[in-house]
This record gives sequence, structure tokens and C-alpha cells, in this order.
Amino acid sequence: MSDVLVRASGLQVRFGPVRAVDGVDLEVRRGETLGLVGESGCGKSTLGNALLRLVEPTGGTVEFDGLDVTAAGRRELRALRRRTAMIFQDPYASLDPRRTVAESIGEPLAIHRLHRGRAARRARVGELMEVVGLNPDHGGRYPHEFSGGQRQRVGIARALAGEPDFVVCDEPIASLDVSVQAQVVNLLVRLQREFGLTYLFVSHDLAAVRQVADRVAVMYLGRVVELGAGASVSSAPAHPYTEALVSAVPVPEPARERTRQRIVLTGDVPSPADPPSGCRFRTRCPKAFEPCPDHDPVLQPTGPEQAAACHLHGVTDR
Amino acid sequence: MRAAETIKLLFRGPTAIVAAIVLAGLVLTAFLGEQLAPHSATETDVSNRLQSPSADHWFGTDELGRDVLSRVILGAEVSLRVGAVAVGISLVAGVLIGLFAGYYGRWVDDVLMRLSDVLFAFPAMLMAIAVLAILGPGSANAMIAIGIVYTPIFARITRASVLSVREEVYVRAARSAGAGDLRIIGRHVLPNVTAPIIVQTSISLAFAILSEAALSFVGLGTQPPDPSWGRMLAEGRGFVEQAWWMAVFPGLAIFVTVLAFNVLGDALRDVLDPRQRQAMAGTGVSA
Amino acid sequence: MTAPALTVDDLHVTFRTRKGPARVVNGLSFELHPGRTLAVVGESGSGKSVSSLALLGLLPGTADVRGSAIFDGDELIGRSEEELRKVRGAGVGMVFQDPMTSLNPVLTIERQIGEALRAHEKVSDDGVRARAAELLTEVGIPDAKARLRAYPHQLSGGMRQRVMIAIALAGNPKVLIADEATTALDVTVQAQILELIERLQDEHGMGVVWITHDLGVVAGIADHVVVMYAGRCVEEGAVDELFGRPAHPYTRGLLGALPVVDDPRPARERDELVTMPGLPPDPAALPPGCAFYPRCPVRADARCATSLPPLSPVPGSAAEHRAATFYAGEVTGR
Repeated sequence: MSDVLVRASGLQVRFGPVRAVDGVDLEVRRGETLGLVGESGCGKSTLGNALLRLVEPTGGTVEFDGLDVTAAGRRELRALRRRTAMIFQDPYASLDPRRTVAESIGEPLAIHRLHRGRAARRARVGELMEVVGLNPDHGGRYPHEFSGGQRQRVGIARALAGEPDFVVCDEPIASLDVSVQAQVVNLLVRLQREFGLTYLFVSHDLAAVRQVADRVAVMYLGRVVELGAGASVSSAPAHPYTEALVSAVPVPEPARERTRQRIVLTGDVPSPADPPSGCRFRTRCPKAFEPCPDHDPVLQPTGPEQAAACHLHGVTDR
Repeated sequence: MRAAETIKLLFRGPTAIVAAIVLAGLVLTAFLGEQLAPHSATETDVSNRLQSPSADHWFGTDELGRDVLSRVILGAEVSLRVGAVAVGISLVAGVLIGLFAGYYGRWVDDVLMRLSDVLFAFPAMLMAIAVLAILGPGSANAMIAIGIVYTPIFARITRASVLSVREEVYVRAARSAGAGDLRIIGRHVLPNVTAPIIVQTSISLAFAILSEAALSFVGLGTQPPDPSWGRMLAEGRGFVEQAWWMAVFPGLAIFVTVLAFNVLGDALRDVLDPRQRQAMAGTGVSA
Repeated sequence: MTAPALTVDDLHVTFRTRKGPARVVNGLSFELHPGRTLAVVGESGSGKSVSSLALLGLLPGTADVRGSAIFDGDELIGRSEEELRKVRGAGVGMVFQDPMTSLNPVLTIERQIGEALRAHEKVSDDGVRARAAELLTEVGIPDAKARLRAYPHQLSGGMRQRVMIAIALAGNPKVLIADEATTALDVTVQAQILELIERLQDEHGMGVVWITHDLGVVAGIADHVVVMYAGRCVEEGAVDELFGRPAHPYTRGLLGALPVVDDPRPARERDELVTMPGLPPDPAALPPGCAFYPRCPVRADARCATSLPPLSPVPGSAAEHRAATFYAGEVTGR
């Protein structure tokens, strides 16, 4: 059994002229949490969806446990859907308002014909609700009767229903209050240990990603620009973009915030329909130099368990 | 969803209550028909023709001596049946077309919606008359004709809602769990597009009843001797000066029924439209 | 110290709802001095946004506002719509969370800034154009003259928020209220906007009320912090005091709930985040005692459930560090 559960090679997703994901190579190892950070429009969410083929890749391949997901037929895809799951950002939008939470949680069971029979299914749904910290007696209630944090727990219970191996968490805490975010983060970590799950944790929040992720991938304009162990990416970033990103995250310590040197990037992110030549970050990079406009850097090792796509570590070209 | 709450909100105003009572009375009348009618609706009695309203004949009698009240009562059944079946046809056909066109988009949408545009382009009455010209007159064919005419409206309303619902995250969530198209359409899309369809059903019932009356008026709908409000109106037209009651009472029946369905439809719209609903439910503090 | 630019005293906001009166703000008081930044921190439903809307009379008719808010020597609460309109913009500028919905999508940037300019003084068309371009340059929008003709959708989120700030600046406000002004923005863009606001504050000497849920942002920009829970200030103090020696269990809970970005330990070796069980109370059914009591991890005092702890000085802290808890003495020090 390979220790890589999901592997993307040269993955590309285009929406018309927009290159949302533009040539990504990425591995998610069995049992790990891979954090995927980046700012809005960098393609991180699209990448998460493409790994599960919830959006169709326009190039490259995705392998899940040896199976070529990009070439999977109807039946294979269906089987894959049982082994993968997704947790969504907005707990208010991701639950069907007209179905009880027990129906929502039980839907994967119905689809994949698991725990057949009314009583068995009800028992399983109750069990799932308990696992995520909900009162199983509340299964007959509708989503609007729950708070945001509780709804997100419902979403998590639904994701766990089919006993998946791989869960894509797409900004799972972004629309929750601070104190509720902490509850959900702790729950996700606990569940991972309990059930041996593999996570792709997609978030714009570097601090939250650091709390849960073993390794972190940083995306900019459709590409992974840095990849490495969580601690090294945030404490010794190898890519100037990661550096700027880390320096922009506010820290709740007034004395440090006052003295800290923030790297304030100038200008806006260029359009993903018309990315700059060479390195995509060069138009905003404080460290850009001669090779940047002409050579498109590839990820290269910069240390143990760390890689960056930047010419500062030696000029490369795709 | 929250049917009890919807009904409670619906009947907060007196107009919706009055409309509902009128319609309930109408349905009851249609069901009881024969039992309720004081006289036979079809038996002619030439000695008693063109009697003005009296204690024995509250609505008077027509040119063949038939009791107008009894004919109006039995006409309710015809009107409601034709209206309900016609709307049922357009509801089923229109909602199916709208669901598939909206959900699948692309060429399915193009083909289905251009077809319904073609139907929509003809004036409704002309279209119904054309259909009846092909199928032949009669109340069964009138139902089909009216059903065809109103199908595009349901298709459009359904499609518009489906277009927004299919983009909802919960639909994506169902797909990520492995749900197939039919499951998504049946379990997630359809239940979430019912509100505008319910409103349209109520309003279409009004128009369908009006259309049946109009078709019968021109002789293409319900055939004699069956009583039909539209037909009675047509027959009464020739006697307006001697026997006003022959036209006024069936006309009144049409007016009240159509008005009641429209009022109910408006009230339903107010309640089922989520934005309206929030405003009615009091404050939505988002602090 | 100079006279405060804005003094809020015992502000109450109650909404009439079907469930009965919802007490969303319950006796909020603070002072804002010129050139200083006051951060109002709280989670959704804490009443932080409602209080600022109440000051400017921007709440719907179902809201009942009591208390006092003195701006520039004048009382704001209870003033007519017309008088308040003069205050909005000219005296107090506001910047909201979502720059897309705060801007009118069918009007050019010039029209929208022009509207704000004309609201305060009579200006010619040329005057408006020149001043609007000046304002855009001031908020760091390059090529300002060309951007005047743009529509909101042609600008990025950060640029739109800069336009909103330009509009707020149009009347030369003495006080700027920023309500979650950087919440919808990416962190690198947030850093740009924070830098901009700090620069403008230095140049204009504005007092800034920064309403946010983000304690990291607060640590960087605030002088004084007010922490709100269930419509009340549960703790306030100078930013260093409050972050260094949080006295109220709620403040401590909020700080503990934050993941630390530069904790060198890998994720698997980290401690769980501190969580507070339960949810904030329904403002239509506030508990009789301390509103935080049902979720409080300390609950050391029998009085907590029945009586409301007053906002009182934290022992051993500077005088303006106050907390609404009965046992601040025992829990200070992290």
C-alpha cells in the first residue's frame, strides 16, 4: 500500500479563458492533513473540487488510491464518492432547508445502500450525531433550528456517514464565530485521529491551517508556489509570496504587532485569464530580478520537507 | 417546510380567509351538486320558461324553463373539473419541462424552452381554439387545449427557480456524496422550487376557469345539455333584455371564482416569498 | 487629555420582535479621543454593529434607542433624520464590511464620491472631479482620474474598500467608524487597508472606532479595546493591558480560541484550542445574572447566576482597565 492516497499530476482546470488551476502537482499522504492556503481567486477551492472530480479537470490526472479519477466511469466514480467526502464553507447553504438534519446526514447511507433498513439507518444517524457532539434526539429538526456551529457539525456528520478515507474541508470555519471556529477545529482534529482520516484542509486562514495541517501548500494564481512542513512554511518561508502572506497575518499580541515588519504587497492580483509571463508573482514581488519575467519557475527543494517555485533558489523553467 | 407556519401566516389577513372560504364553498358545491340543486339542471319545462327570480327559482329560469340556480350549481362542478384537470396537465408537463431544462441546461434547455417559446408566442385563446379545431369541441378536449396553453408558464417559472437552486451548495453537497441526477432533481431541486409553482397554480386555476368559460361561450367547450357557466353566459346573451338573470348569475359565479383564486394566489405569494416572509415574521437582527 | 470626540453613555437598543423585546445593546459606554483608535470587539450578535448604527440613526423603525451619545458637543440620540444626515459623513464617516453592496453598481465612482461631496457643500462639477480625484489618490488608488469613470464591478475588493474610505473622507470627518471593514478582504489586502487607515488617521487626526471580531487586527491598531458580550461591555482597557492581563473569562476564552500562527510545534503536538461550550444567549431572553454565566468556565461566585456584575476596575491594573466580573482578582495573569 502506497503512502500516497491522492496524487494530482499536471492538474489543470480552466473556465473559458480563466486558468483557475494551472498545472498543479500535489500528493496527499495517507493519514495526513495537507493544508492548502491562498487568497481568494488563487484556485485553492477549485483544486479541492477537482481532486474529487466535482469540477471536471481540463488537463492532467488525479489518482485516488491507485485509481485514475479523471478517467473513472460512472460506477467507479460512485464508489469513489463513498470513499471521499466534502465539508463546505457555509453551513447555512450546504444543508437542504427542506430536509431534516437526520435526512441530510443519512443521505450518503441511502445513496450507497449502507446500514439498510429503517432502524439500522436511524441508529447509524444517531451514532454519527453523537460523534460530532449533537443531541441525537434532534434529528427530526430542520437546519434553520440550529446555530451556525451546530449546522457545521451536521455537515461533518454527513461527510463521515459513508466512512470515507479522504475528506476535503473547504474553508470549514470561515463563516463561523471565533469561539465556534475553535470548537470545529478541535472536532475535526479529534475525528481525524479517531477514524484515521486524510484531510485536505482548504483555507485562507494561515493560523487555522497551522493548527491542523502537517504539511502546507501555498497557492498563488493557479499554481502551488510553496510546499512543506507546517512549521517550516510559516517560520522560514522560502517563497516571497509566502513571506508576505505570513507577515500579513495579524497576531493577537499588541507589542509584537506594533514592532513587526509587515511586508505590504503593492497592487492587485493579476487576472487568472491573463497571468504574467515567467513567474506569476513577479508583478508584485519585492524580490523580483532578471530571470523572473522570462522563466516560469518549478517547485524545487529548498530544504528537508520544503519546496518552493522561486528563482531565488536557482533559476528553473517549466 | 414548516407547513403549519405557512398556513398561519397565510391566514393572518381577512382577504385570504374570505377567498379560502369562498373556494371551500365552491368545492363543496361541486361535490354535492345534484343534492344541493333544488331542481333538475337539464330537464326542460316550456310552461315555466324565462321566469324571473322567485321563491321557487331563486335565480329564475332560462328560455327552456330550466332552473338557473341548479344550472349554476352543477356548472361549478364542470368549471372546477375542467380548470383542475387543465391546470394539472400544464402543471405536470410544465414542471417536468422546467426541471429538466433548468437542471441540464445546454441543448436540453435550448430545445425545451424554444418549443415553449413557440407556444407562448401565440395568443392564449387563439392557441386553445386552434387545438380544439384539431381535436374537436367538447369539455375533455377543452381541458387538453387549456392544459397545453398554460404549460409554458409553468415551464418558465420552474426553470427560473431551478437555475438558482441547482447552484446551491446543498446540491453540490449531494453530488459530492454520490447522488445521481434523478435523486438530486427529485429530492433537492423539486422540493425547493415548489413555492412559485404553488402560487402559479392558484393563479392559473383562475385563468383556466375563465378560459373554459370563454371556450364554452364560443361553443367549443362544454357541449349542451351539460351546464357550463360560459355556455350559460352565451345563451343568456340573447335574452339580456327580457331575462337579465340568465347571464348575470353565471357571470357572477365566474367573477367570484376567478377573484378568489387570484386573491389566494397573491396571498400565497406574499407568504411563500422568503423576503416577504422575513419582513412579516418581524425583525431579522443581524448584528 | 483633549476633550473626547465622541462620548457614548449608557446606550440601550431594543428591537421589537414577535418573541418580545430583544435587548441587543444593554448600557454601552465609551469615550473616543481625537487621533485615537477604539476597538469594539465581539462575536456575531454581541451588539457591536448595532451600537454604531444606533449612533447615526441607521436602525429600522422596530429599534428603540435610549441613552446618550455626544459628538462634538451635540447629542446624537433622538435627533431628527435631517440633522443626523448632516452628522453622517460630515462629522462621522462610516465604512462597512462589504464594499460591493455598499456601492451602487450602476453609478460611476465619480458620481458616488460626488454625491458625498455635494451632501456637505455646494461644489461645481469641475470642483467635484478635482476633489474626487484628490481623494482617490489619497486613499492610494493609482491613476485616479481614469478610475473616476469606472463602475464598482470593474474594481477589485481592496480597491472598492478604498473607494468607500474615500467617500467616508469626503466630508472631512472627525470620527471614522469602520464596521468589519477588512473582514471580507484577503490578509495581504487587509494589511494594505490597515496601513492606509493608520496613515489617514495620522494626517487628519481622526478618532477611529474599529468594530471587529478579529483580535489580531485589534492588537495591531487599537489604543483602547471594548469587549462586548450579549450587548454589554464585559471588559475594557488599554490594548496592552487587555491582551496582557485579560480579566474576564470571556476575553480569556476568545484569546485562547485563536490558533497561533508561529507556534513552532507541528500540528500534531499542539494543544487543543480553548473552547467555550454553548452559545451566546438569545437577546429576547437574557438570563437574570451575568449573561456569560451559562458558558463560564469559572463560575466561582454564587452571585453570578442572579446578579449582574458591574464593570469595575481590575485589581492591580491601570484605572481604565475594567471588567464586569465578580472575581477579576483571582483570574488575571495568563
